[in-house]
Formats: sequence, structure tokens, C-alpha cells
Amino acid sequence: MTQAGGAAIEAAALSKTYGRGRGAVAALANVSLRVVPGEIYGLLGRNGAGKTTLVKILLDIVRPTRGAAFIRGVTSRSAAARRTVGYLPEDHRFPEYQTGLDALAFYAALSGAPAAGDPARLRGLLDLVNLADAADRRIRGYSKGMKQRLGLAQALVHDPEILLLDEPTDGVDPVGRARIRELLVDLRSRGKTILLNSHLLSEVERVCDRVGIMEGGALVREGTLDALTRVRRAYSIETAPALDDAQLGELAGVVRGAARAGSGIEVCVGEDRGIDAVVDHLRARGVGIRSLAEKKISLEEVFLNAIDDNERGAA
Amino acid sequence: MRQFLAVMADSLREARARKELWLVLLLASLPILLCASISFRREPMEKTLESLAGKINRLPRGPGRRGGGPRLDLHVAIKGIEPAGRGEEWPPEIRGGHVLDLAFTEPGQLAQLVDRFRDLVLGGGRAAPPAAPETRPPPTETEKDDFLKERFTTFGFNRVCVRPHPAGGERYLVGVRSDYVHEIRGAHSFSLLFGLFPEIPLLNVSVAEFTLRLERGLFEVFAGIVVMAVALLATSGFVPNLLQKGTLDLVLARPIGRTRLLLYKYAGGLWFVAVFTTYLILGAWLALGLRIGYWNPWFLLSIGTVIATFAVLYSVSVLAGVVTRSAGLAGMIALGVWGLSGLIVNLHQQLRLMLYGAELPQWLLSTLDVSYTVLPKTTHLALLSTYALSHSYLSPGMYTRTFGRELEHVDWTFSLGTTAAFTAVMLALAVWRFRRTDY
Repeated sequence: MTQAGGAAIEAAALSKTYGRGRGAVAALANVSLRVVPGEIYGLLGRNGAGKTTLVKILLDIVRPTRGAAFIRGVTSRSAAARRTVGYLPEDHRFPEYQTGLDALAFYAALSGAPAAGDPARLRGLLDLVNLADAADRRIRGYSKGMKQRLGLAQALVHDPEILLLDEPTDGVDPVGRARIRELLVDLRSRGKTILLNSHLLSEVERVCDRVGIMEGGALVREGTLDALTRVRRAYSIETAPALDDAQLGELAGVVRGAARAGSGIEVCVGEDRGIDAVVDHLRARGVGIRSLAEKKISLEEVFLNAIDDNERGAA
Repeated sequence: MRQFLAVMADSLREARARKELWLVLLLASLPILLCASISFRREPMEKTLESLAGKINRLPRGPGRRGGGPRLDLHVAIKGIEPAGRGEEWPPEIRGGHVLDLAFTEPGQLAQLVDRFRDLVLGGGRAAPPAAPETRPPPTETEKDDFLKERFTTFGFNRVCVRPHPAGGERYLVGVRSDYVHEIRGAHSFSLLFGLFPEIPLLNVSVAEFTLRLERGLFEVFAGIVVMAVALLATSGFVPNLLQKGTLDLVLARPIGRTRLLLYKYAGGLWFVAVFTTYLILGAWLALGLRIGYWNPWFLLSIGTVIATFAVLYSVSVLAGVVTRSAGLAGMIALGVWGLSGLIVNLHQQLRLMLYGAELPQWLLSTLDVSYTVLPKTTHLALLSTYALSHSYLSPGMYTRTFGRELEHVDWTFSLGTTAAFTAVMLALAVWRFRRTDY
């Protein structure tokens, strides 16, 4: 089964319920999403929101109750779909009898990659994740951060087109994290598609092109970072001189709301053209405008708002 | 192919990391060393015959009996041993052999022995109780000759000719020759540990029997039980370790189907056992061949039967591993099925014989029959090796006397067919379960 449309990853109305009867737990409810080639898509959500289940369905580790998933147009139920996918699971556990090099050779061979028989390429990959010195050491002696970096290397070992990364910086020190972020950006520049599951909102904010927020098994928000963090018809304005209370009161009569914010003000307008009226009002009173920008909130606020909205909706 | 080889290599790596493997290796090296340290020396035929003549009262076992009953005292005198062909005229098949001049010094003793022999062997043991001694006719001269002939045939001479001594009385000339010197009991002595224990006599055993017993011990007891048990425990973790959370995800994310993955993992277990069984059997084969010139290629068949036995039991371990995800439970269940199947096979063969004539409840017999049909018959796989090994090494007569009775009751088609079916069902269930489970 294949799907046309050019998406690197596609989930079509996926639902997953674990168990049966009274003990049944709905992990996913009608989730649809598309990740286009060459983008980094961040998947956010609380523990148990359904992110890992979604990723596991994409890899056929878990079978959906309803709906279908596709990797580059090929149904995820087919082993061939996984040929172009690299996966870093959360809480992965390497067999401890393997060395770093053994592990990479093993996973490369399972992926059918020529790198399996090319120790130089495998060592190069270990060098990329800063594990060159530990290549011949048993994984038993690796720290958590080393195992995490090895996890990233095994996901890349067959040079996949698509990467599904579940908490890739978990347990990694700040320097290592920065390197991983650089690596992700570099991979994107080489046309790779990345689905990134992370709790670290700041990280998602720095590297992702689009973000989806999952809550209670559903995808409750989705969009580009810019679109998600922008507050509609709200603006921050820096004026010179600063408005006094009387001027601010007068402005409040023109807009829906106006308030002092730091050295400037924030205004909310009723319609898209309302900001023009604000500019005209200030200019007519000789107030200089030094900067004007749409108001933005942090991804964390977006995330928390999405969860609040969902809980309110459920109530 | 690349995926298959990767799983094979990883299975060996996994086994190598376990202490059990090194234990098996050490254990396997001991019998190889033992085989390499043995050497045989042929004793003079006169000495052998003298010794054998003193054992003609050791009657063979009858069917359903553990031994030949109370041993009769023996009063014989050896009047002479000389090469056949000199003096007395002997048939051509005896020429080149020896003639033993044997006199029973107590009147009626030979007749007593023949009578006892008839009870044990010719009378058919318990199945057909012989008549009371006082009602039986005394043995004829032909029966006496046949008795002596049978005795020396059992000792390993395939050509025996008995004649009454011209002097009369209970004195006989026994002409013997063997085309298979290695089958003559007591004809050799052996030294152990490179001569550290020299000249140990093989009293009632021939070199052939000794070597066969040694090899049977190696593949039935050592490879078939010790190595098998250790291997089952060492490999019982292969599947549960794969199914561990975090480990399985790394593998299932690869372009490899679950059926193939599980079967490769199963093959990985077989591969591990194949390597070590080959080391043990091939090593012992080479050691025996180099030291005593015994090069029976059928001994190598036991590599196959040990692997086949393991394949059957490991399928149980794989299914148990998929269902329970516990290495300990998988190993114990496989060992349990092994023990149970051995018990059922033995009961099935022995119970009716042991309780001959007793009325057994129908439900018990039905349960036994169903269990026998369903469970694998790994015991028979070992017998297959014994069959090939002894059949190829022993002369037809010696083979029949030594092993024929053990092997005659096995329905090989049924036994091997149901054992293969059992393995296939175990694997099919394991694959079915593995394919339909969310991880």
C-alpha cells in the first residue's frame, strides 16, 4: 500500500487503544499529521500524551487500532518503509556485550547498509558523535550521555532520509547538546527530514521548523514556530518619548486594550487594520515610533495554553 | 543474507559474554584430552583365551531381566591352547585361529550351565516361563556344543567350531578365530593419560565396545546432557534479552520482518550449539583417530543429532521466551519439557513391559499415548546416532548382540515426524505471538 502526495511522514487518522474492555486505554485518537521532506518537525507533549505511540506506529513497532501511517508514501506496515528511517528510541538499551563499533556494525547490517563492512566509516560516525576513543570499549562501561550519543550514531548508520528522534539530548551535557543541535541543523541542510520528540522546549524552539503539540492522544496544536508563538492583533511598540498616563488613557479609547510593558507599550486591536489607526493616532500627537512588532509568546506559553485549553474543553 | 550473518555473529558475541560458554568450553576440552591420552595394547591370544574360558559361566541377560541370575561356580581346566591347523584338522575358517582344550572338572556342570542358559535366553525369560527342572530332558550333546559356540561368539569370535575331545568326558576342543580382533573381549589393555596409568586390562570388554561406549558417553551423556543443559541455559536469554524494552525498538526499527528476526535469533542459538558440539565431537574424533587409528565417520553424525535435539528444545525456549520475556523461565520450561519428554518416551516403552499382565486403567494408557504422540522424542535422536555408529563399526553379529535389542522397537518415521512437527508448532506459535504483540 502506498500513498501519493510527497510527504516524508504521514499519519492518517491514527487511533490506538491498548487493552480491551474496562482496562482499555486510548493512547491515540484520530491523529493526522504530515511532515514534508527536509523539515524538522517537533512533537511536544506531556508524558503519556501519545508521542511515543505515534512514532512506534510509524515504525510498525505498535499496530494502530484505526488509520494508517506512511513513510515516503509506503505503508508503515511494510519492512521496506523502514529502509530509509533512522530511529533513536527514548530509554534505549544496547546489548552490553557489544562494543560501540560492534553495535554500529550490527545495526548497519540489519539495515542492509554497506557501512556494516566498512569499519572506517563506522569509526567516522563514532567520531561525529564524539565517541571515537570509546569505539572498542564495551557499552557496559559507557555513561548515559555516551549511550545517548551512540544511539544517535546508530540512527544515522545507514544514512537514512528520515530520522525519528525521541529525546535525543536526554542525559547529554550542554556542550554535547549544542553539538547535537548543530548536527540536526546540518542534517536538515542536507535534505534530511527529522521528527523530534522532546521535552526540552528551548531545544525544539531552536531547531524545529514546525511543531505539533499532543495532549491526551490528540494533536491539539500544529504550525510553524512563528505562527504558534505569534499573538494575533497584539503589538509591542517602543515610542519616543514614552507615553504618559494621559496619552495611554487616550490611546486605550482607540484600541481594545493598551498597557505599559517595560519601556514601551502593548496594544490589542480589533481588526488587522487597527494597528494603522494606532500609528496614525500616535503620529498625530507627535509621538515618535522607534519600533513596532507583533507580540510573541514563548513556546512554553504556547504549550501550557494548549494544555489548558484542552483541559477546559474536556471539562 | 547480511542480516542473517549479523544476527549469527551477534548471537555468538552474546554467548561469548556469558560465563556458561566458557564452562562448556572447559568441560568440552576435558573429554577431548581424555580421548587423546588413551592408547591400546593387544594382549597375547593365549592369555585372552585363558581369561575368557574362566567366564563362560557369566550368562547373558535375558529379556526383561537385569542380569543372568545367580552365577554358577565354574570348575574348568585349560589343558592347552595352540594355534589352529597344527595336529587336529580344522575347517578352513578356523585356520589361523586358536584351539582351546577345555575340560569341565566337575561332572554334570556343563549340563547345568546349558540348562540355565536355556532358562535365560532360549526359554524367553518371564514371557514364557520354562518348565520345572525335574520335568526337562537333559541337554543333548548338540545343545552343549551350541552353548559353547554361543559363549565364544559372544566373546567376540565370529568363527567358532566345537568338537568333543578324543579323550572323551566333558572335555572339548574349541577352535576360534575372529575377523574383527577389536571385537574380542579382553584381548586388549589400555593406558590412560599418556601412560600415567599404564596397562589397564579391558576385562570383559572389547576395544570396539570400549570405544563405542566412550563415544556414546561423549555424545549421549556429555554432549547430550551436560552440554545440552548448559547450552539451553546459556541461550535461554537470547530472545528475552532481545525483547527487553529499549533493545527491541532498536532492532524492530530496521527493515527486517519479525518472522525473519525471530527465526534468525533461533538460528543464532543453534549456531552457538553447533560450534561447541562440533568442537567437542570433532575434537574427540580427531583425538581417537590420531591416537588409536579409529576413524569412524559416523561418529560425526552425532554432531547433527545433538544439534537436532537442541533445535527441538530450543524451540520451546524461544516460545517461552516470547511469552514470558524471562530468561530463567524460558530455560526452566525447556529443561522441563526435555525431562518430561524423556520420561514419557521411557514410560511408553517400558510400562507395558514392566507391568506385563497387569490391568492398567484405560485413561492412563490414553494419556500416555497422547503425551507420547504430542511430545518430542529427543531420546530417539540420540539412538539414531548410536544406531549409525554401532552399525558401521561392529560386525553384524556383534551389532545385533550389543545394540539390536535397544533399537528394534522405534518407529522412526513416527518418532522423527512427530518430533519435527512439535518443533514446527513451537516455532509457529512463537512467531505468531511475536508478530501480533505491540512492543
